[in-house]
Amino acid sequence: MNILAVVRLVPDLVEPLVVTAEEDNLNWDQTAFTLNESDDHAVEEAILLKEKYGGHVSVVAFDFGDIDQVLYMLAAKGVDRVIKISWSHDEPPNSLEVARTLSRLVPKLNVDLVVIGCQSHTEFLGMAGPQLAVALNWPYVGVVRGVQEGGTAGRWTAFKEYPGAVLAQMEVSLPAVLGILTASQPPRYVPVSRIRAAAQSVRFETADTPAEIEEPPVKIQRVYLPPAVTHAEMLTGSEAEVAQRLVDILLARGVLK
Amino acid sequence: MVPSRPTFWNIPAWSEILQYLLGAGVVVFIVWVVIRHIRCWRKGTREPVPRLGAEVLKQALERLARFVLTPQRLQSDPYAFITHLGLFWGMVLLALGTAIATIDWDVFHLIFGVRLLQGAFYRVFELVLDVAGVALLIGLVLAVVRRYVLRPSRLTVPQFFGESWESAVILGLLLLVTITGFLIEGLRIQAGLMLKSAAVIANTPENMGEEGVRDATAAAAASVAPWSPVGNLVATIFRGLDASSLRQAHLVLWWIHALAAFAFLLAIPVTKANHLITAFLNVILPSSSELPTASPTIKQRIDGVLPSLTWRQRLEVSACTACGKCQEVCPAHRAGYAFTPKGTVWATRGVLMREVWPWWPATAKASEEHVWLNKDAIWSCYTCRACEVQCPVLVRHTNLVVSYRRPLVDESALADGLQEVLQNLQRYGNSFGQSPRKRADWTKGLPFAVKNANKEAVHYLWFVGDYTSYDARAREVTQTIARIFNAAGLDYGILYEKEKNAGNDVRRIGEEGLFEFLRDENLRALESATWQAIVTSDPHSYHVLRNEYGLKKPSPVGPPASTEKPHEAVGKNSNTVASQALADPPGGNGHPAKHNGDAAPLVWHVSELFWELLKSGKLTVAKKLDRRVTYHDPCYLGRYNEVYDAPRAVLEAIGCHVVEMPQHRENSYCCGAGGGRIWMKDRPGIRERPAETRVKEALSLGNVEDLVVACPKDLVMFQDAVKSLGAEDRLRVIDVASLLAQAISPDIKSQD
Repeated sequence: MNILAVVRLVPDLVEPLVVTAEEDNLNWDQTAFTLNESDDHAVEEAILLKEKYGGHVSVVAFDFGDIDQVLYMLAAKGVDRVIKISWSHDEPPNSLEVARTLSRLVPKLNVDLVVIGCQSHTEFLGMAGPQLAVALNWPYVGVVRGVQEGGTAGRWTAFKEYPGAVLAQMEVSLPAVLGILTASQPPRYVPVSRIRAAAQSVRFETADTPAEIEEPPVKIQRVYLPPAVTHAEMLTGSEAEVAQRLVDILLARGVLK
Repeated sequence: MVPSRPTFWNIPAWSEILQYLLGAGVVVFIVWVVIRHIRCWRKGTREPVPRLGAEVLKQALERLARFVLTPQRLQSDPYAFITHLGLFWGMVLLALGTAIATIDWDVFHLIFGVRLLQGAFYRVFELVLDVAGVALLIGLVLAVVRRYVLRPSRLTVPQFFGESWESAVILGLLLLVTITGFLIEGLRIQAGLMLKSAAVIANTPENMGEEGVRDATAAAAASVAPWSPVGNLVATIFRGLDASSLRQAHLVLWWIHALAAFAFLLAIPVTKANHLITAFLNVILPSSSELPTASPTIKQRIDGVLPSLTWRQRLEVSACTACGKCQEVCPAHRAGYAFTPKGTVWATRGVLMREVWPWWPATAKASEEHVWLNKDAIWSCYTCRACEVQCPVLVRHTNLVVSYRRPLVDESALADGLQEVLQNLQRYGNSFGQSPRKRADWTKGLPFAVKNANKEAVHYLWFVGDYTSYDARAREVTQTIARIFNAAGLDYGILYEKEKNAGNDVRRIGEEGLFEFLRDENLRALESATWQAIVTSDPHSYHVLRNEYGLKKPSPVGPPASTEKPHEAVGKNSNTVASQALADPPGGNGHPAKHNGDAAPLVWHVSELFWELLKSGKLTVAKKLDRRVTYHDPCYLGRYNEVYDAPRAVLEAIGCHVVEMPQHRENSYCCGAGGGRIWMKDRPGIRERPAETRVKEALSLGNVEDLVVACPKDLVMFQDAVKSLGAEDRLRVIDVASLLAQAISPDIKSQD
């Protein structure tokens, strides 16, 4: 089975987010990026499927930020083919751009299955997968926690999670797009020596630059950090002082009378 | 006739010839197996050792005296010490005696027609060999009683393939050799006395023939029988036997003695008796405590079990005697983990023995199947080196454990909790997964600015460390240290966000590539700054900076220069640095490098610098604290680097009375944080965490107020342990810096 995994970089929330002076977007120059967590799981699930059933795993990513290091790491994990889509814009592609670009690329790659993280913190509703499936006219299952062979009539089985920790077993015909929440097992650790070795040996393939970005139908008016409307008060001092202050607060709030 | 050794008395020519033929066969067998051992060791990878020179020879002789001739590391167990002394010196002297007897007969007598073993030399020879035989017999009896009657737990570990039958074979054969040796000596003396009384000696050699000459020699030797006190005593047993019976019994026992001796010689290379040679080699050959480098091109596992080992590691594994001293002190073993250093070494030795000796009992094929080599066992080690300071034959257990961890990292078979930490370290350069920009946030609470060593020259570059930068409790101590430095007027600075985790524990986890990455990042920052010396409060950083970064001392040591970079001797690229570190290792097991006596070390632990500042008067004690405290030696400061005195000197100087715990200095008990274990989850159901064991030890002193630490990880581990034991009102865990701050100036706010 030939599997294509889509990986995207998202802002790293460990670093503070910086908004532009115009408050129209994040300041991308001062933003650190990291691999989208559920995309990492999508790659892991693809590799697990390859290890179990054989086949070939390709990874595709937009040439944005420090994507090369991420791709070396994924190659070291066991990815067979790495495709980089040129991207010259300051900000990462949105879900529609991802879907439209990939919908032109995927038919050329002889792919049975596309796996993509079902969400990212730049894309709360996780639309890239469904949009891609629609563009390809393939079936889509999202919030998937594992895939295995064994459905009826040659279909595959995807395990989908619903709110309330309910699991559903879904049969899906290939080719298909799956939105992965988590892989069947946590993404494996890749030692630095293997990443270094991959950096020496892996050759990236490149894909066409997508068409000009279309004017989005929805436009951001303002991006800003919400002002603090309330805050915690740290009680300091001796035990007696803290206790007295606590009593005062509870009395003031009407909890104690 | 001058008394001389009655060699081959009563031995017919066929027996004599057969004995030579058997001896030759034994030698051929031993040479064959020894060649296979050497081939096995040579399959190991390269391990740099110091170049041969006068200093190396001197150290080898010192180690020979300390660890072979007087087995220093057995002295803590008088029973084992006496047993080993008897076995070792008894066997050495008897082997020497056998060699002299062979030279006397086969060289001096048969070639030159003269005897070496005659007259006074023969008398002393007999006396020494009798005493040696008694020593050996005492050693053997003690060993048998200990192993099969007393049965201390460290000698018995289940599922030890090979161990039980090997000991039985060795002890059984040696007992047989020793007892039959005395018996044939007694028979020969008794026969000699009878021959003497029959005046055989009155004849001259010319008219006696070969047998007559040997009888005459035996008769003459009987005249000096008192010089063989044991043989002489044994001879009295045989007084009732006639000459013929004496001769028959002697011949039978002589053959039993010879066959038992040959069997023992055959057993040496194929049982743990080979430590007679391998332990000797391991002790005298120079070694490095430096971890061997790992190459991704080297095959990670051999036959699914062994990791890549250096030739030196293969040699030292074959030197192990399974004495279990390592196991007895291992905190992981005592905590109830399925790990013992002895188990790991002995199981490895079993796998290697199959390379040497194809008939060796089969071991598990895959490491995961092996109880002592599976990942649960291998991840249990704290790399505290408590085992190594106990090992009589200088095995480096922790290096072996790290060698096993490397393929586990490669296979992503990590312990619970490790993956996230390693990914954090890859991405952020710290184990906390925090922004590098927040590394120096602890400085924000200080009333003064801390110099940025990236921008201006400093005398002391303070390598702060991860825990000391990010952990809330340890950060308070870090602030206290900054205040002390300020009070002393120290010219110091930090690297701010350019500092990364030093990589010590990453290396002990077995992630060598990540260690190299972190080291190279830190070296880049260090190279671009101007400094004279490095100081750190984290013993883990201290060890790796001092011993594994290849840092060279800037010269000359003096006030910081404003333009030139005094540490330019530091390697400009990682390869150079790594090769320097390997070419000049810090010292091997049994002889770690010392600071002591070095007036101005390149890398200081804060406790050393505190003591220096107190001695020089730059820090003065304003108030003696008058507290009874106990001090915990951190593994990476104490055992790894032999810094024991400076923290104690600081405590004494500020008016603390230091009460030692039973396990202190090189016998200190690990807190359970080392080797990356601070990041791994504890296995449910363990008996007791090492930190709790240690806190109980401190509490058992009964009269101490503080458990003083000199490591941020100790602070965290012991504070948690004190809480979990509900002992907050009985014992305070405090850093040495916090106590010092209270003493030098009550105004300095400190953690308490």
